Formats: sequence, structure tokens, C-alpha cells
Amino acid sequence: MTMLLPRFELHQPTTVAEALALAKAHAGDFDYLSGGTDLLPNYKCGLNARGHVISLAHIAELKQITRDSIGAGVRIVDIERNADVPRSVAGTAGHIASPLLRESGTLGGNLMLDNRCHFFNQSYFWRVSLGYCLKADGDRCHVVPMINDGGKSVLNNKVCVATHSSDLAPMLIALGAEVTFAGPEGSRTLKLNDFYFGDGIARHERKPGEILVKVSLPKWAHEVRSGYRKLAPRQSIDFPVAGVAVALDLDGARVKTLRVAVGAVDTTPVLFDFSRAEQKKPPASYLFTDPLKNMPDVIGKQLDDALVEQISKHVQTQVQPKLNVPMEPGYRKKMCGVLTRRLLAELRDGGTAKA
Amino acid sequence: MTIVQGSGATRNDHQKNKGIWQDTGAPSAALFNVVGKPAPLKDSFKKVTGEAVYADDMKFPGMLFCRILRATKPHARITRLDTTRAEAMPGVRAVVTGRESDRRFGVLPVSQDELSMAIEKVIYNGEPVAAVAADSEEIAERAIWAIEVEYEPLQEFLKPQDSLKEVAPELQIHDKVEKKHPNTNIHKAVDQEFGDVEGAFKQAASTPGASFRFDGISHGFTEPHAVIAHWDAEDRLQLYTPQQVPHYTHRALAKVLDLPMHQIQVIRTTVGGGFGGKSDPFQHEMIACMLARKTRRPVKLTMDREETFLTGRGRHPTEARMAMAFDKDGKLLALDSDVIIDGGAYGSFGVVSAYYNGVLSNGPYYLPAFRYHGKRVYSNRIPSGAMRGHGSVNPRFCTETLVDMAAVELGLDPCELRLRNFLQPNTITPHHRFRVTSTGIREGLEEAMRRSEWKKKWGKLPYGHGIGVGCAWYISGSALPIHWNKLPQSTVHIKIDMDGGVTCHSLAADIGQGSDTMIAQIVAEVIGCKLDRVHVKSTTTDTAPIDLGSYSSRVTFMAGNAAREAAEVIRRDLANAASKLTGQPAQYFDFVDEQIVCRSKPGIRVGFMEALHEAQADRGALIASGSYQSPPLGGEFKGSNAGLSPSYSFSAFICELKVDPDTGFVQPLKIWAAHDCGKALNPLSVEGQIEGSVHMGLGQALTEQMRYRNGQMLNANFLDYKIPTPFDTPDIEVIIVESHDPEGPFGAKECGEGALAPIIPAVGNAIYDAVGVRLFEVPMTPDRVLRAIEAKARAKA
Ligand SMILES: Cc1cc2nc3c(=O)[nH]c(=O)nc-3n(C[C@H](O)[C@H](O)[C@H](O)COP(=O)(O)OP(=O)(O)OC[C@H]3O[C@@H](n4cnc5c(N)ncnc54)[C@H](O)[C@@H]3O)c2cc1C
Ligand code: SF4
Repeated sequence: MTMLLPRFELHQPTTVAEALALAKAHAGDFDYLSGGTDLLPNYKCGLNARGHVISLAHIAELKQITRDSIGAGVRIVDIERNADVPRSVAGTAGHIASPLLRESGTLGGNLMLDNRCHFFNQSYFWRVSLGYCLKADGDRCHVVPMINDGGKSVLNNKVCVATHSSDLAPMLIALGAEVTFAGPEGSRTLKLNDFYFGDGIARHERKPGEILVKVSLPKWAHEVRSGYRKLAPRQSIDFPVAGVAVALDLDGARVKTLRVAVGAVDTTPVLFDFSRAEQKKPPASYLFTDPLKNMPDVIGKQLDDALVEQISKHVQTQVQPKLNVPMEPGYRKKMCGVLTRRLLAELRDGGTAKA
Repeated sequence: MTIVQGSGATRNDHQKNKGIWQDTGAPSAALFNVVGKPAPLKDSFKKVTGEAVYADDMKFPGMLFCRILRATKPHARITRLDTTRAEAMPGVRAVVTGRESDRRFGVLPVSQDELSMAIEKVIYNGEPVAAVAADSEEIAERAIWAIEVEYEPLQEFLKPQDSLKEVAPELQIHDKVEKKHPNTNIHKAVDQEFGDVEGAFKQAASTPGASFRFDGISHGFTEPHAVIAHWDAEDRLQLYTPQQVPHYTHRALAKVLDLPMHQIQVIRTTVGGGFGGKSDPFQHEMIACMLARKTRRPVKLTMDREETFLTGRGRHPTEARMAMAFDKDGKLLALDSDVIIDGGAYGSFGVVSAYYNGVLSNGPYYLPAFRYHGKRVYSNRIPSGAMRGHGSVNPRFCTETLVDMAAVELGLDPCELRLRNFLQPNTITPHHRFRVTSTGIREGLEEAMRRSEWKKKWGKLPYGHGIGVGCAWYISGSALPIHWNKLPQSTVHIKIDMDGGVTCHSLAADIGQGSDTMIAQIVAEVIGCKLDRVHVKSTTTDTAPIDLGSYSSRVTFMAGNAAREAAEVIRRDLANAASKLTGQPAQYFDFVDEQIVCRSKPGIRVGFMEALHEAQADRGALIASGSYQSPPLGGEFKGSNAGLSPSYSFSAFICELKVDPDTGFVQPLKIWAAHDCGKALNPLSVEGQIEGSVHMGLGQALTEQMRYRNGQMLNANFLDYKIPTPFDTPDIEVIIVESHDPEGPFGAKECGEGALAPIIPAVGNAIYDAVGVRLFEVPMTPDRVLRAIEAKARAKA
């Protein structure tokens, strides 16, 4: 049960094109590596390790940071200290992991990091003891062992509810960020929110071999009030067990736009776009959050305490945290309400909240 | 950091009687050259530069690597164990299983219940089942998974309540259990009653009582277990191990491997933290030696963090019911306590834990009547053992919470109520006959109150902001050695040759707490030399005289006294030499700054080296030996030995914090930590010990818990086991109280463990002051705090 890295071949391309070629050559048996702070701990636990690792760390194209976009290879610490990115994004970056990990971890890795679960992020010995699960090597789920299938309770051998635990993802989604990928068939750009979907194994729809190149922020992101609140047991090093990001545009005292994105309570970040502009397919399973269900009308309304309360209650009611990361689901759910309420009130009263 | 003098300070008669120190009445720092002055720990430079050698850093020619196969079931019969495939793997040099030895061992002679590797059945998830030595760690790792094991599950005992029940003998985790409770999984039961408990509760004005629950916690030391064993060409066994207690490992190795002790050398490597987690003789030590015997090559075994958690010996998960009785003036009348502690798979120090959970409640307050029912049970969980503050920390939370509840009920300031009940210096407790020589707890609490502006704050801060107090005491060395014999508990040897270097030999283990520096300071003080002349060799059983090691907060008191006694012999030699050289009487010399100065005629003096060479004439190196043995203490009833100590430390902490009433998060703002360590031989390291205790205690108070899913620990890593980070740790103001213990070396007592307990109730009581709720579950995590706040709001509505 020692934490030895499994053997793999390491490739260190210096251009995206080179990386894509390597990916093609080792299709099905490789992982990209950026800062390694997420991938390598998982490898040490023997979680879905591959024979080839293609490092993106030496690709200069991925490391640009401007007012409009942040390269996927930019380190978290460089986002934290950059004066051009929205304060809420820099602040969120400053809440990730620990100072040391932020020196290695990158934006790309943060948006692409694997979902987390008590029964998955464990050593080989541990998983042998309990029995493997769907997300690695097994055919069952220890968190949701039975599932309701057409009114019948059956063994859950398909849905993984591992928790998406990125801090930056909800913040960037709230701000309407877009992501650009380079792939074998050229590049494409889509809404970050549309990128995430599915259960704890699928979690996003990256096509085989695709490399995240950059994250772009609309001009709007620099203009609106925005902020992030993180729930974690300790003040440093811990993954979020709930995280609320808000982008709020007011017209006087009335809500023009309100986007609340909640992280670490589901298999993907969950966007509550109260203007209902950015609508996603409703989730495939009752196990996942449906932000639109009973969504209150808030646009054009006065953002008074009552409305703040109504919005927070909605978020709190809809989110569906699972018992697979630290702190009880019931508590985390409740905290989503508290964090939303506080953040909204602060943004309303004070302009841009610090993260 | 401030240093406060205890007013009840008893002069150090021991020293005075020996005529070594002038009695000026005031124990002032000016009297000393080395003692009482901040000294960086001797090994700190090596540690911060990375030069210190830990077991995992060591390499030997031909060294093999060991990995252990561990049980994947909490309680199960082994129906098949086949190592053939592993043995056949290239690079595998040896495989061992429980067949290697059926000799049981354990730290206490009464609980010899550990096998090196499981035989027939496994009793916790993580128990060693087999082990491999191979050319590389990678091969060894692959090989253990090639060992075929099949299990037939047995009924699992995962809750202490289940262990109390009667079961068929074949379901018992161990054959030998508490005699009073046959056919159960109760390891040890203690039932004691002294004084009129019933009567006290009847006449009391306040009788707070509650049920408490504590999760198990782990030491979280930095260095995972790592050992190297070598059966050398001279047929001697060498074991390199970061042990707190090399001597007990030495004994256990002799027993399990069937070797005379003198054929074994135990070498303590640099210890990267212990806190009680490295004080049992361990299975992995036995296993490495067995593989070394089989292969005749050095075998290294380094655990990962998960295995270190699985090896365990942390603080017992605890369920307690307690009640206290007070009269209308807040005078403590009685304590009634019922405690169940979950010992996990082995006995370990558990018999002692079972007693300590009760008897250590006989302080820091005078307790006229006492009833205690304690049970330590076996379960199929990670073995519990001795952890910093052993046996006293959880019950202390209970009693300190109850004391606070009584103060509220009686309308008294909680500090005032405590001040009314403290044990006085030179007291013997009424029933257990614990002999309290010195205590500075009153001065400590008063100083902490002053500095924290307690009177301005308690009960007066706005909602969500609070202040609380917690007090404690702790043994300064268990007076009872674990192995009963007539040997001293500590012995120190000193050798000084013509080079003028002073070499001290001791087996007191420096585990980072600074005992080497402590010994050096004491010796330097007595013989009047500079600290850098003194070198302490405390690693090797071949050269070091036996010392019972670093547990029960005994080292400064016991090894310190032994060092002083040895140094006094050298001092006499040097005084005689100075006398010879000057013609002045030997008893009239002072030893200051490498000079031996005639007291009445300071002009007449001899340099240290000159006196040394004179003393060495015709005999060569000076050698001396000193030792320490506790005085006879205590009463004469069964179990009367538990809790006896030649002296006790005392502490009084105040904590100011904020509670977020919407989230339940507790944010400590500042801690005032007053600890009576008798005499701060090295204020720098005393301050470090107290700060470390506060940090560690805050972990148990707020975030640390060993979480289980059935028999499996869910969070055996440092991401999920929540030790507070620097960002979570508040400002700590250390107040050192010096009560000058009459029997401690230069008046010193312990400061390594006692300072942990008070912080937890101080936090709990401050939460009450902040938001008006009592927490009866530890750690006081945000969800628990919030639940209590909500329950209170519901009750109000
Ligand atoms: C102790 C600890 C605490 C942590 N706490 C937090 C926390 O509080 N909040 C948080 O958000 N995260 C946390 N993390 C996770 C992680 O450190 C960060 O998310 C970090 O930003 C990941 O970046 P990386 O570059 O190191 O990722 P890597 O490990 O290099 O990669 C992670 C994944 O992303 C993929 N990937 C990386 N870059 C690209 C790309 N350009 N294109 C396609 N795929 C890519 C990799 O293939 C891999 O699957 C923590 C990690 C640890 C070990
Ligand atoms: S939630 Fe996913 S990772 Fe967790 S046990 Fe279920 S399948 Fe495994």
C-alpha cells in the first residue's frame, strides 16, 4: 500500500500540436499533466493510471494571461496575484489548496480536476478492503448503493455521484466564462457551463485528446459585482465542500442579471441563472441538482432582504450534496443558503465583495 | 512569554541539603549560568538544515525493502494464506507470516496480546498478516499483493457498547479479558469509590451532569514509522527505530525473537515526532527483525501515512457520563463518573488508560468524594494507546465543562469558583494519596485572568464572541515503572576525558522535545562549563544506561535528576582538584563560566581545564553515574499505583473566540496559556511545548477526528484528517509559572503533556459564553455547534 507512482512514460512536448500528436499516438492510454497536484496523488493511489503521461507544462502557448483570457497553463498563484483579472477570480484563486500547491497547480488542472469521493480517493489497500466502485475498477457505488429505476429500487451500477471540487469553476461559470479547446479536429470554444455535464465519472464533455487552451471572460465579467464564498473545514489546504459564486448586475436596486454558481455539492458545478438565459438540459437523474425547478422570478425585482432570502432558500433547497466528502450533506446544503445570502447582501451593499 | 513566580514556592531543599547552592531565599535566574536561560535545542540546527538522519534516510549495503500485507477485514478467520506466488517473484528475498512466531508481546506485562503477524484470525482492518523483503520497494509492494489470503468473516465489534455484551468465547477478540466480566470484550474494568458520594450529591446546591462523546484522534506526528533491522555478521541484531522507549522495544524483541537482550542493540534514530505514538514496541519492529534474520541482510521498512494511522495508539474514542456536586459557595464535594473507552484491537497502555481516565480527576481541585466506573473495551478498530496527556484529556473536558455549568448555576464567576477549589501546595489528596508538592496554578490563573482582562470580558462580550477557562494538572513522571524491578527509572553516565568534552550517556529519548538539551544544561550548570562542551549520546542501548524513555512526562524530572546526580560527582572531583591546586577547602568553591572560584576569596580561581587535568592525574577520564528512583508514594488499595507521581504540573488556560451563529464555525482569537512547570530550565523550549500543546489541543477541540466506515478508517491521510493549519491557529500568549518543585531538578516539572488538556474545555466554555450552548461532543465541529445553536433556538421558541 505504499504511495509509489506507477510506471508510465513521460512526454514533454513544447507545442500544442506536438502534444496533440502524442495524444493521438497513445490514444486511450494517456493523461495530460499540468501542475500534477491532482493527477499525481490519484496515480499514487492507483486510480485509473495510464501508461503515458503527456506534460503540458512546457507549452508556452498555454501560459498567457491577459484581461480577456487566462491560459490553461497559468499557475493558480499567478492568477491570484494578477491585477488584470476580476478581483473575485483572483480572490477565489487565493482560496485554492495551500500556498505551496498554488505554486504548482494550474487553471487547466483546476477546471479539469477529477471528482472526489471518500470511497474513491483512497489507497489501493483501502479500496481492496471495501471493494472497488464504479469510478475505478468496480461495478457498484458505496454512496448511492441502490437507485430508483422506473419506480423500482435496483442496484446502482451506473451512476457515480463523486463531487466536483474545483473552486475556480463555479466562479468562472458565474462570470460567464468560455473555454477554448484545441483538438485533433481543430479548436472550438464553448461556455464553461455547457462543458460540464454528467455524473461523477463523465463530469464533462471533453473529446478524446482535446487540450484546454484558455478561458475567456466576457467584458461583462469585469463590470458586474461578483464574489465567491468557500466552505471548508480549515482555512487552508482543504478542498471546498461547498462554494458559492455570484455575479450580480443591478439596475439601481433592481436585479438586472443574477448568476449563482455552486461548487462542490454535485458532480458538476451548478449554475442558477436567474435570467434563465443559459439553460441546460435538465439533469438526467433525480440524484442531480435541477436549478430550474421552482426557480423564483427575480429579474427586475428589488433586491431587498426578502428577495435575498428567497434566492438563498432556492439554492439551498435545490442543491443535493452527497455523503462522500468531509462535512455532512445536510449541513453543506444549509450552508449553501447561508453563503448565498451573505454574499448577495454584501454584493448588494458594498459593490464588489472580496472572495 | 512571561514568567511568573509561584508564591507557594517551596525552596529546593534537596539541592540545599547537598550544600551545592547558596540559599538566597529567592529562586532567581541570577543564581544560574545555564539553567533558566533560553537555549536552542541541540539538534535543531541539524533539523532545519536537513542534516538530521531519520531511519528512512539511512542506507546499508545490500539493504532490502519490506512491505507489509495488512488485513482487509475487521474481524475474520484466515482460511487460506498462501505465499508461494510471492516467494517465486524475482527480487523477492523472503516472506514471513504469523508462523514465524506465536509469542505475544505488548508494552504492559499484563497485556501481552499482540502477535507480530496475525495467526488464524485478524482482529482489525490493517493488522499485519504477512510481509515481504525484496530488492526494491516496488517489488515488495507487488509481492504482497501476490500473497493469497482468504477470510471467513466473524462478528465485528465496532461500537464500544457491543463489546460490553456477553458473547460466545470464539467471538471474543482476545482470550484474556477482564476477570470481572468473563465472556465479554472488556479489557479492563476499574471500579472505585471513596468518600460519601451519595451524601455529597444529596446535600449539594449544584449537581451538573452530562453525557459526553469523543471521537478517537491520532498523534499526527510528521515522520511516519520507519525502521531498519540488521542481523549482522557477528550474529547480533541491530534495530534502528525512532522509538520513544527503546528499552521496552529491547525487551519485547528479546522475548519475541528468543534472544538474550545483550545480543540485541536498539538504536534510536532521529524521531520526527512521537506524542505517545512511538512508545509501544511495534509489530513492524518485530517483522523487520524477522526478515533480517531470514535474509541476513539489512531490511528497511518505511510506512506510508495510512499505515501510520493504522498502527494507531491514539487517544481512545470515549463515552462518558459524569456528574459533580458543589455546595452553595462553589466548593467541590464529589465527582461521579462513568467512562467507556474504546481500546481497539490491542491492550497497549490500556490498563493504565482505564485507571487514568478516572483517577486523574483528583486534581487540580480538592475532591472529597469520588466514584469511578471505567471500562476499556477491545474492538475491531485501530488500537488506541497513549497519546499526549494520556488518559486525562477527555475526562478533563467533562469535568471542566461541569465546573463551568456549576458556576453558572451558582451565579459565580467560573474562574472564581476554580480558585476556591484548587489543591494547595504540600497537600496529599484524601483518597488516592497523590502527593502534591508544588503548585502554581493559582498564580497562573490569576495572571491569565489579568492578561486576558477576564473580568471585563466574561459574560459581557456581544453575542457570538466569548471567553472561557479550562484548568488541568498532570503527572510529572509515573512513579510506577511498567516492569516492576528494583532498577532505577533513569540512569545517566558522564565521561570527561583530557579533551575537555563532556559526554553524557542516557537512554532518555530525545523525540524533539529537547531532552538532550535539558541533560546538557543540567550537567553544564552543575559543573560550571559552557553548554557546547556537553554532548549527549542518547540513542544506543549498548552504550546508554537504561532509562524508561519518553512517556508519562517523566524525562526532565527523572533523567534530569539522574543527570544532576552524576554531574555532582564530577563537580566533587573538580572541587577536590581545585582544592589541591589552591590549598582552599573543596567545599568552598563556586562553579561559574568555566572557572572554579573560591567563594570567600574570588581572586583565587582555577580554570575548568586545569582542574580537569589535575582531577584526571593517575586515573584518566572522569566518569560518573547518577540515577533516579521515585520515592515510595500512595495508598494501599488495588490500583493505588495509578496516577502516582513524584510531582504534578498544573495549567490554567483562557481562550477568547468567536462563533459564527449561522455556520457554527469557531474562530479562536487568542489563548492565554499559564503552565506551572516548576522551573523553566529552558524557557525557549517550555514556550515551544506549551504552544505545541495548544495547537494540538485545538485540533482535538475543533477539527480532528478519526472517522470510520464500519471497521475502516475513512480519513487516514493528512488531507482528510484535519490538523489545524497555521491559518487556523490563533495568537498564543504563554505564561510560564515557576513553583520550584522541591524534588525536581533545579525545581523543574513536566511541561510536555499537561498543557494540552485545558485548551479543549476552555474552547467549549468560551463557546458557551459566546452563544449560550454547551457542547458535549468533541471535536466541536461547525455542524455540531450549529445543531446545538438551533436546538437552543427551538427550545426557546
Ligand atoms: C492537498 C490538496 C488540496 C487541494 N485543494 C484544492 C482546493 O481547495 N480547491 C481546488 O479547486 N482544488 C484543490 N486541489 C486540487 C488541485 O491542486 C488544483 O485543482 C489544481 O489547480 C490542479 O491543477 P494542476 O495543474 O496541478 O492539475 P493536474 O494534476 O496537472 O491535472 C488535473 C487534471 O486536469 C487535466 N488537465 C490539466 N490541464 C489540462 C489541459 N490544459 N487540458 C486538458 N486537460 C488538462 C489533467 O489531465 C488531469 O486529469 C487540491 C489538491 C491537493 C493535493
Ligand atoms: S460516488 Fe462514485 S466514486 Fe463514490 S463510491 Fe459511488 S461510484 Fe465510487
